[in-house]
Amino acid sequence: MDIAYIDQLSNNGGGCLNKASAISKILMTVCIIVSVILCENVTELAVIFAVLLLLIVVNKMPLGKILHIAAYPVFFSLLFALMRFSYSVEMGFVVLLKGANAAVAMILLMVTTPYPLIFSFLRLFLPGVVVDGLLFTYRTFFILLDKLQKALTVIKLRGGFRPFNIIFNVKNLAGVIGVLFIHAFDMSERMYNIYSLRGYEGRLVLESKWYGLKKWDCIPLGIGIIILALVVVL
Amino acid sequence: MNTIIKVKCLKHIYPDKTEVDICGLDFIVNKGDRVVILGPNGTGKTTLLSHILGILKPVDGQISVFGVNPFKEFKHIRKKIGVVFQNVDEQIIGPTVYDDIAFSLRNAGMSKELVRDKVYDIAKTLEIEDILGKIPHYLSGGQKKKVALAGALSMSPELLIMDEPFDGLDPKSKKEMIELINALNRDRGVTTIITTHDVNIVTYIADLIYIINKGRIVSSGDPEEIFKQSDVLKEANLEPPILIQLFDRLAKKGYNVNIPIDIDQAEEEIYRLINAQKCC
Amino acid sequence: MSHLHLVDGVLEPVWWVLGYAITLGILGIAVTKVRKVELAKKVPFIGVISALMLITMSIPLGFLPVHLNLTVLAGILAGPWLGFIGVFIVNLILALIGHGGITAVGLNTLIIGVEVFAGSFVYKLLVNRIKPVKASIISVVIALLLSTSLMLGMLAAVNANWEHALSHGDGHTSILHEGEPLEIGFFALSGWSAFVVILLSGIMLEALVTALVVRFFMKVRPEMVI
Repeated sequence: MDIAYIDQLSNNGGGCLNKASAISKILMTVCIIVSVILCENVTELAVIFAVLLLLIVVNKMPLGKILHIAAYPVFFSLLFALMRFSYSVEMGFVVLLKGANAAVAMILLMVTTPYPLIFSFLRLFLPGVVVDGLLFTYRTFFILLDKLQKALTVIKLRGGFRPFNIIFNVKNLAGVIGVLFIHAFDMSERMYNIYSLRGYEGRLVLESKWYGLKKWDCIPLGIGIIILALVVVL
Repeated sequence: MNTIIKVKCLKHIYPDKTEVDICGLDFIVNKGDRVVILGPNGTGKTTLLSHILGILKPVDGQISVFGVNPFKEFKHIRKKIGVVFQNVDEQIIGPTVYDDIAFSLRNAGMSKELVRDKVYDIAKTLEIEDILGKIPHYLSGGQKKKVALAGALSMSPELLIMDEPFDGLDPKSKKEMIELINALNRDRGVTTIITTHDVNIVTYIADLIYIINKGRIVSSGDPEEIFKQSDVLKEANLEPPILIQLFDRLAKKGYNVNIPIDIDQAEEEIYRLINAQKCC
Repeated sequence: MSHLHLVDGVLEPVWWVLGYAITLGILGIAVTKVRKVELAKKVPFIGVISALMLITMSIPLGFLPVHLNLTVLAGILAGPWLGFIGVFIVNLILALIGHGGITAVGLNTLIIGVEVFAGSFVYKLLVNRIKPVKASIISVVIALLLSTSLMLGMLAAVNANWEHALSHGDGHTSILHEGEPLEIGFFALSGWSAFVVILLSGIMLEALVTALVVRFFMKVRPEMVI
């Protein structure tokens, strides 16, 4: 899972997009996704893709790694593209580029913006429980992932993983998953106790300033608006 | 003396129906004490702490924390207690170190400025100002313990409870943690209750030790008294600190030594012994 | 494994807007249901359930391009409402890291949400009549077949819609009339059969793992699954 890596980049990156406020980057992402939805022209989509790649490079983000993260959604776009390829190659590429653009735009937002800021912004649209659930998910994800990775390593070291015998792997895995679930449920109980001791009463109070514009915001805002305007006009 | 905790013969039943009687001697903590609960793993140390914190509901027995029943008056006592659990990963909720230390302060509805001042104050005391912006899962074990401690201290608690705080720490971090705990007790008057199975640390952090074995509180006293009771220690699968074992052997061989409880006393004893040998 | 990670820009806006509207509606009901029973205590539990789903998705299974979801298991353990909130959180996080379009979160949640609802419902119905392990297998198969049909139905509708637009010379897609349809029928066919094989093996795998985990719970914590 790439979440840990994305988190690392968003907190430690020093590029121009990292310096901009969350709201401007969210707006840029929205503009790009709306453009992607509206646009049916393969050249325009390719230009948007090029701009995104350029942004990654200018922002000193690891291009290879980000494209690797984007490869998975692009693979799924390919399935949809296959249906369209039967009509025209161009139409296939349109679908492929749409998927790729949206995915890269989203990943670009995530690698340049720490997640608490994005979740705080989501508080505007989602019930508080869901946003708190998001934050808890994020926190427990890393704890449980660590446990799972250790358990999987132990399984491999003890000869419990065979690359071509899926039934064999699944049997061993089920044990690990069972233990992980029980550990996780007990953990949720303990976490609730600890947070209650620390004053938690059903709402996580975070001070995350996703708004408030800075001079760096003209870059994402400008790019987002220009892309959207060009797609609409052309 | 101002007693803040009194526990008498607690009975607890776990979800898997295992029954534990934390009985034997009464567990009493006075204001300003540095208390250590010493015992091997799985003997009920954490269960006792959970009852004191009001997390568990006892089936039977008496418990009073700051004069009230902790389970019934959870909200009342939680403001006075700071706690650091064994697995600090589960304790840290904030997306950044700053947010985590600020968690209780914000829950208490403090203003942004006050929160910031308090966070920086604690971070300075624990020397973690440089990691305030970091995300918890990239911190080292020692740093995580400090962050959890900072979170626990944010509300200026009267009582600090730490469950196995030295587990998994390297020697340097252990030493730092000992100094921190003692400084909190000395400078801020915080009462401390610490569980551990590490006898070599105990003398540095305890005025009063309770030995707990198989759910029973089997002995209590200051470090000197406790480490003389080798039978009780052996029974609980514990050994006296290595220093005490060494001087005990010397005494048995006929040397005229007092048993030291820490390295400073041991140093003095050795000088005394050498000087005594020199002069005759 | 019955969801397709729908990507942005493929669906007509009316579909994904509708998806979001229904999902948020159900989410609203779920939140009210949860609120009744100790909300504060449930939030860490929701976090754990969602994290577990996310994590089981990342377990490597060998050569098959499928991953576990354990949504039915989540439904059995957490109940349909908490499970649904969990599924939404999982889809949102996946969309935020580019796995599936952000516009498709509503639809993806609905499709996988069906697994949670159907799974926990069927399991509850069966668990007192037959052994929990068997009940879990049947629940997984029914739930996943339902969600898969929903997904395929939706894809068919979306595709029909798209082809309809095409044949009427819709402005956006008129470009297609310029070229002859390409002859890749065979490829498309083998693509679909591969897809069906993957789907079926995904369902079998999910049923197997769920059953094994339920069997494990029966040994150590039977109260969790009964």
